[in-house]
Amino acid sequence: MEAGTTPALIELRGVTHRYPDGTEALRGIDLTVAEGRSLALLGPNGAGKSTLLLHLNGILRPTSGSVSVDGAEVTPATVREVRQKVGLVFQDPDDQLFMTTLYEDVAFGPLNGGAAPAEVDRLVHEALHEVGLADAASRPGHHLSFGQRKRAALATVLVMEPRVLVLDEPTANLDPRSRRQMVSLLASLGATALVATHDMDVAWDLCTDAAVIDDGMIVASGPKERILTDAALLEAHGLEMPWAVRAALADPPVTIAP
Amino acid sequence: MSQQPHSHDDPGVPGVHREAHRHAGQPTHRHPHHHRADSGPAPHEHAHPTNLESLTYIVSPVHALDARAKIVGATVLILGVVLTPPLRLAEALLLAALLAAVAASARLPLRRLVTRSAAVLPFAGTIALLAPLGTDGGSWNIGGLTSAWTGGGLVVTWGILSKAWISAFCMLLVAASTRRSDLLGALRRLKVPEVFVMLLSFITRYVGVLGEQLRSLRTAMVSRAPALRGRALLRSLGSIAGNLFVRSYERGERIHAAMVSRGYTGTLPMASRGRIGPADILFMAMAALSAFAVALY
Repeated sequence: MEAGTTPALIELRGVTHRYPDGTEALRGIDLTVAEGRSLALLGPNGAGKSTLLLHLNGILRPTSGSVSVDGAEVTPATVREVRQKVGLVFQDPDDQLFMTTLYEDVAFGPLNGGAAPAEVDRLVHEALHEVGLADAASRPGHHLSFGQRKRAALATVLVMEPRVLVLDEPTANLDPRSRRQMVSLLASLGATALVATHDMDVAWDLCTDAAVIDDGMIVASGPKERILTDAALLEAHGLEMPWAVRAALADPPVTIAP
Repeated sequence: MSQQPHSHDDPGVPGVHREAHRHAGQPTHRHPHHHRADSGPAPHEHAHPTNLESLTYIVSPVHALDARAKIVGATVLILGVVLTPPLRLAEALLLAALLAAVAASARLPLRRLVTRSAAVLPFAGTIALLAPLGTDGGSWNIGGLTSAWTGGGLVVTWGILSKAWISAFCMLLVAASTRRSDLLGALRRLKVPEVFVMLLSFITRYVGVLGEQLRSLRTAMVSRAPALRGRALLRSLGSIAGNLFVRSYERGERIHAAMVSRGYTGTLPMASRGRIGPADILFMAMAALSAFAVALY
């Protein structure tokens, strides 16, 4: 990462995580998400992306190393504030839409934070407007289409007004139209973000920085212009260049080496 | 890039917001909004996760009753049937006719309800088979052929099975004629402990998901082994059951992680509404009268 001209909103230093059965999921992660920047976390399956994301709001504790959010280390005492500042959106919207109606799902966060009903009402309506689901407020979450559910899950986190958004595969399994809607929605938010994704084009379009994780370690990180144009690096770790980059090259590489 | 905030200016149309707010990458437009206050039956095109849930969207006088009235009425009737001596034949037929009439006025498929509520019989049956061994009174001993099964024993068996089936049918009537959100809200307002309501909420929410996973696993099994029988079939079904258990457990962990990420600390926040009207009171009164009639006759 570039030397900190902007304050770091999320900072991981030497984070390791070992599962109870002994396998090491993370082996010394150093990562920074600066305010106003958005970081794409790229890596093959099994590299440790999801495990890393769960450390960012205190659901998992590192075996060693530290996780800091907005300058303060994540500890049992600070974890409540951390969860308000770090908005974690999981991959499967069905895991996040568990209340009886969409309104209740989106209201879940503010109500847990102790907001008054009138304030909750205002926040919920604003969040549903932002994602374009204002007219579905009284319907159950599971009556929505998959693309709508993904946006609804995003709304349940946006309503808490987090400082940084952490998204786990926001465009996975979306049909082309829903994918375009999601990408333009995320772009319109203009938030500090960390996006774990397989989708190299989303990484190129949405994010300012990129980090590649493989086998529990960060193998490269920096501005996207440096990382996402390095074909050798990407292919060595099970990734490939975004189409926008390939189209700009005179002689692009053809496929991923087996 | 971020959107410019803009405002709607149409004070005449109800439900249109007047304050400035951002839209998700779309041009400015006026649109009617849905508020919690205005809800009513509207044609809808979503898929229902379970067949039972689709029944709750039928429009009928029974569906329109307040959920609390239905729950209280059904509970009173069930208590009346369960806490009294086993029904005599005439009573049983009258009660069956009453329940069938309610099901008919609710426009619910009677046969489906009867077969579904019969699902409780295997469980009641295990007790019903053992209970007669502890009874006495009245003997139908036809020349020594039926010594263990005295008349008293058969009455007990009939009592257990009939009461179980009727209770299940009453509960199913309520479940099939009440939308999930109304049912849960009513339970809360009837002061059922939050733990139970929460449990029921999650069960009803995710049973549809489980059903879909079961369907796709079964389809995969049938596609690869269409002629599976006997022990091989049972083994495959067992694997499917184990698979579903593991998946459900993991889903439970993920849901908990999602709840905790949004600030959950142990108690669910909530709110709801509705009104008891004369139809609801009448319903409860008739249920109570039926229960008394069964008890006193």
